[in-house]
Amino acid sequence: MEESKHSPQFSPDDQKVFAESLVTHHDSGGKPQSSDTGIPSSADKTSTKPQPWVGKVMGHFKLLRLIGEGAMGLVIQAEDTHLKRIVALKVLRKKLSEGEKGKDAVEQFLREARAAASIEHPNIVRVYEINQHAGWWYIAMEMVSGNSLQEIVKAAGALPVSRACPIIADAAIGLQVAHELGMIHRDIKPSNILVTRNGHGKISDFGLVRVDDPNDPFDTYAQQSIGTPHYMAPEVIRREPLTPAVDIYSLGATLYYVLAGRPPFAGGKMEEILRQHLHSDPPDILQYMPNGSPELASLIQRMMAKEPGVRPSAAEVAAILHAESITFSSDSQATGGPGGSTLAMDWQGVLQKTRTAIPGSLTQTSLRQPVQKRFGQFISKISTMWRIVIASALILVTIAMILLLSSDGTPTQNRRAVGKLFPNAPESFGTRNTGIPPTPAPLIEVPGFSWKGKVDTSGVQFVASQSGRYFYSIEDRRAILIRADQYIGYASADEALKDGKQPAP
Amino acid sequence: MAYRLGSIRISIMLLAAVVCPLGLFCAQAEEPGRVYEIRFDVIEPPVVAQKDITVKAPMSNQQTEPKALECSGLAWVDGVLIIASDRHEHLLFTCPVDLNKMEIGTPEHHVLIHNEQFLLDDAESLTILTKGGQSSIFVMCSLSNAPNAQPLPQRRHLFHGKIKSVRPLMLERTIVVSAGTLRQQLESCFETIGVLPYYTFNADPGENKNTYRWANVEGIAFTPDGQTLLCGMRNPLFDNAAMLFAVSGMPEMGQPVQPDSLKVADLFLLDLEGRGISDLCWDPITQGYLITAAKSNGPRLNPNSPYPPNTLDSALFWWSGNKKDSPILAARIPDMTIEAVCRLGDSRYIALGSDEGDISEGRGARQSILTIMEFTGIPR
Repeated sequence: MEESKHSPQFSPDDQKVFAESLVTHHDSGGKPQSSDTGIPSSADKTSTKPQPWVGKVMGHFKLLRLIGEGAMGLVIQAEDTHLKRIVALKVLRKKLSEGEKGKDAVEQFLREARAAASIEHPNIVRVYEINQHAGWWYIAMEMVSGNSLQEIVKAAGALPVSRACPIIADAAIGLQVAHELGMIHRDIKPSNILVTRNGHGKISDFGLVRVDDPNDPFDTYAQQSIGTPHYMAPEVIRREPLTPAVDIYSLGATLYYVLAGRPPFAGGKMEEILRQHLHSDPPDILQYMPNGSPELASLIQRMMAKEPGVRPSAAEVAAILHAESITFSSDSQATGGPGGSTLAMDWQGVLQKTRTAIPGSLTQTSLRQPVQKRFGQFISKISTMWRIVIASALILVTIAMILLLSSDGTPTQNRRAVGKLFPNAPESFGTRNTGIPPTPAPLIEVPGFSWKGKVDTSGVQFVASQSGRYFYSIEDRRAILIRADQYIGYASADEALKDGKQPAP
Repeated sequence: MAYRLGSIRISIMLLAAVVCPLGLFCAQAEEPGRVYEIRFDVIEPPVVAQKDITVKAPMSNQQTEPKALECSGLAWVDGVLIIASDRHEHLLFTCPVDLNKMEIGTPEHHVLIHNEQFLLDDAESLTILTKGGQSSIFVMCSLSNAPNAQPLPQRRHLFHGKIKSVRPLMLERTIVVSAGTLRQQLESCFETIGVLPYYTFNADPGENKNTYRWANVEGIAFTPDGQTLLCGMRNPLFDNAAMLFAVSGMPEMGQPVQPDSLKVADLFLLDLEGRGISDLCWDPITQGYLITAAKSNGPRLNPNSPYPPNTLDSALFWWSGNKKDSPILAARIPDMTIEAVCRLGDSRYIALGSDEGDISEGRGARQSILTIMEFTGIPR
């Protein structure tokens, strides 16, 4: 547990290799390696190039691996050697922070950190600390084990409504909180919405945030068209005064991308895309999801309205999307979504607090009532005749189901026909006479890749895998299968929970 | 008062009407054990390793443009994983795996057919037959219709060869024969029982992007006695169940395949919750078949859609081999497209191979993910 004491410190010599590493990775034409500014790409994540700084300590963070890099710096997975938790360390390129111009870059970097740090919300990536070490500025942020929406859609294609809506609703809730604090994110897009292993959306990258503060002289982007072209609101392109509605527009375009698998406006040139944002309506989303709901299509149209005043608030977006996801829950038989998204209908109590009532729509509040209460209300509202009709119908359904289930084992006509094709074929192609499934053989020997016997576990009660969702008691036999290079130890279950892990099922 | 009593009676009836079927339904839906959830980029028990094994190799001797490995079949021989790719028409890949350190190496390709003309086009399945310490490899094409299968019939071939060495992969007495005779026999079966043809989407230019593909075989495995080859079909489903057929007349060890001796000896259905078979293998450790299954990406409702939602819903099943037994769901794999499965020797581990790309869907990224997980039975 005292690993950091034995870890090599980030010495002045290491600064040189770290700097070279930054330069080496960045000097590919001076452009960011990732698809969007500052956003790690999948390619970055899977990079296996050895980094000379791996294992060094910056401040009280042990540098583990490169997650991604952008124009401003690197994002590195690191371990907080004090709290023994994994964080994402965003390190500003040193050359950007040098000289007179460097002050602005540092201030911009600090603005991002301060903005994000001022919001503590489950739908916004948390900032733990900002500091500098040997001239390197860094932000220690919550490490989100998951993928961005961009990566998920790239890997898995367009998402079904039941998977997309809760994630975007989460982002809308996060935006609502930011807007209430006078912040405009200004760069909402798929790569800036991270999806955790348990399916919640989190907004990241407040690098372009506008803080509603007249004493904020460092908003260097105040008079610029900033953002990402595919998701940029018309008023941003026109350089008009900005309101929180710019984020709603970008979120609408993001929702469109997630449901269609492509951005709303396509074009070979940036000007072409921007022109469409200014003058064209987005193509009807229903052409990509023929069975989609008109309400959802209408919401996207409203979110992407050219006139900012027409767009719904973030709270309204969240409420409608949550209602949509419940309406469409039937198409999500599997509870999982791409990229580690496991849908949970429970909204951590957040939506209930933040949403506004939508007249005529299915509201979260009504859905949160106990089933029996809603059922009772429903029954009390209908006439006796209807009650009899419903009761009769249910009885008939019951009889039909009993008949159906009692006929289990009787092959259908089709199956009988198949069975007649080869009457002399063997009944079994295996070695077992019955289908009793095998039970797992106990794992006796510790596998060579296991952490067991390789790390100091004094004080450790629970263990987990870095990329995993669950934590296990150190005595749990299943935990032996955790790889040594993925090992994380926790002194308590609380610590593991705070790190985003769930108890192993 | 009478009204109240009437309401109570109705309420009881309603309650009974709701509870009875629900209870019965729940009893039916109960699964015998826990079901694992395997995910991309999540390495935790039972998953012990995962790696993107995408490498590129020429897709054929005629078309030397390197194309990415798209994993379609896996087999384990003497510590080496052998991989079939449905994008490559003349070669197989090998990939070293260190089971102790659980490290997955980088695949290398090995050209097996030097004069091929689409001979291994759409090679969807791979299996090994071992007898007396000697292993033979069998690779089977999907038997489906290639969109542009003129003038040669494509996707009809069965490749066979004795393994001489695996480091590097060297075969002897290799032979490719037509498995078209199996297709003809199956077609007759389909007509008898009324199996409808299978259509799927192809993005090539043309009026009708939903093209007739007949059917497709995606997994083969020898029965434990080595006498019969079981073939699993991904499409079409019949009665919402996957179709398998058994082939007799397989050659004795070391003997070449005789196409005329190949006979469809059985056709039967397995319930995989609406999925078709994407691969299967005999597992000597659990004495059953491991079956990977996924839903069809069939015809496209809107041919202009860039690509459909990925709802293929891959899963791993264990099946005793007894036709009366239902396969048992062992793992859900919702965000990967699993195309191959095999046991890694006599270890506790199995390998799952995915093919995340599809050329007909215009996706730029190609990736084959290899996942290794512990599997020695169904957890309870």
